[in-house]
Amino acid sequence: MDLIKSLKSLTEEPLRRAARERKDSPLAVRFISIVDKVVNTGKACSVWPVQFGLACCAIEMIATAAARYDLDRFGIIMRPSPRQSDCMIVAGTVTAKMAPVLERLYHQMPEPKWVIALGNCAVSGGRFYQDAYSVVKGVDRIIPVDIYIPGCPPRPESLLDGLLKLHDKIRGESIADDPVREGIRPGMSGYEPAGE
Amino acid sequence: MSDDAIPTDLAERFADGITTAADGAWEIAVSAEQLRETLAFLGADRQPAFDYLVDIFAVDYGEQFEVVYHLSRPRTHEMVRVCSRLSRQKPSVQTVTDIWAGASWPEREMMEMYGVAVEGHPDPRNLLLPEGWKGYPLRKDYEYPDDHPWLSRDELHDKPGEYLKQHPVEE
Repeated sequence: MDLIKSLKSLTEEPLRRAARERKDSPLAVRFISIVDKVVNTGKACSVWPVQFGLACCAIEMIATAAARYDLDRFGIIMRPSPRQSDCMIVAGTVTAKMAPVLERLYHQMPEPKWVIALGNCAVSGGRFYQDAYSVVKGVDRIIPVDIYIPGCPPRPESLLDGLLKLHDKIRGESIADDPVREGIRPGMSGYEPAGE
Repeated sequence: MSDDAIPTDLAERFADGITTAADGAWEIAVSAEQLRETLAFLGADRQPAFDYLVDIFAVDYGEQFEVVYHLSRPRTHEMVRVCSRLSRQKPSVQTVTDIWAGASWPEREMMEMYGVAVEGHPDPRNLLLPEGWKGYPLRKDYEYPDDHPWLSRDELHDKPGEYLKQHPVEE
């Protein structure tokens, strides 16, 4: 019973708090929270990332997916195409030449989608922050990021911790929220490719 | 690396212009006008020819550029460096892709990083930089793109202590 109570409190409390703020009727709150629990459990237990492994952090991501640290037990299967995935793990250094490709792949992912910035280069440009003219100083200059995982490279345990935090974030969402993130549209990062 | 003395045909042709460097390679310093002719001789006309182009790069010496071609003949362990100084205002060389096809990429890199024009290059696109990049990054007077939305540095990362004092995070 204690276990069930603690599990309930994990998921219900934030949803009820949000519903109270929206001043929904108690019946609607009850209904929405039950639907949210089911839907969010489904979403969280099967996050399929498109592995955007660019540099050394890709090795750590692969190591996390491999036998010792195993991502499959969380329902996480790496997908090769953004069209089939929920999450984009940006693992590695993003350069100015790669950035429009990254933005295009982000827009090709269907909603709901989340982004994890893995490693110092994706978080802030990392070791290339001071002097590299061609490195994007943090992938959040191009796309919105949900989870930041620092490290150079972060250990597999750190990536697992970040993915579990993503689970918490997913479980805290609600179907009553706006499904589309505000203000994200193609071209918002200010990039204009030559010739278009 | 070349262990022997300078061969006679090279010593005859270049006389004082050829020296042996510390690592055993031979260095030939030529002027910009003689560069193409020298490379054609070394790569095609000389028997046996230096048939492997190791690398081409440029050096920025402040008032001048220097273009360096590394050639080698792997079978007999011979290696030669051809250096040539160019003016900084309008540096240009002629392509050697007809002698060594592998010169294509090093010449593209030299064009985009230093702005050394390569005449007659079959494919003068950027190699590493994105299209439409302004400026030549490996020159000594290159200005960092601090007004680019992605590539610029900002106060938060440069001086985090002061930034956080001015913009305190609310709990």
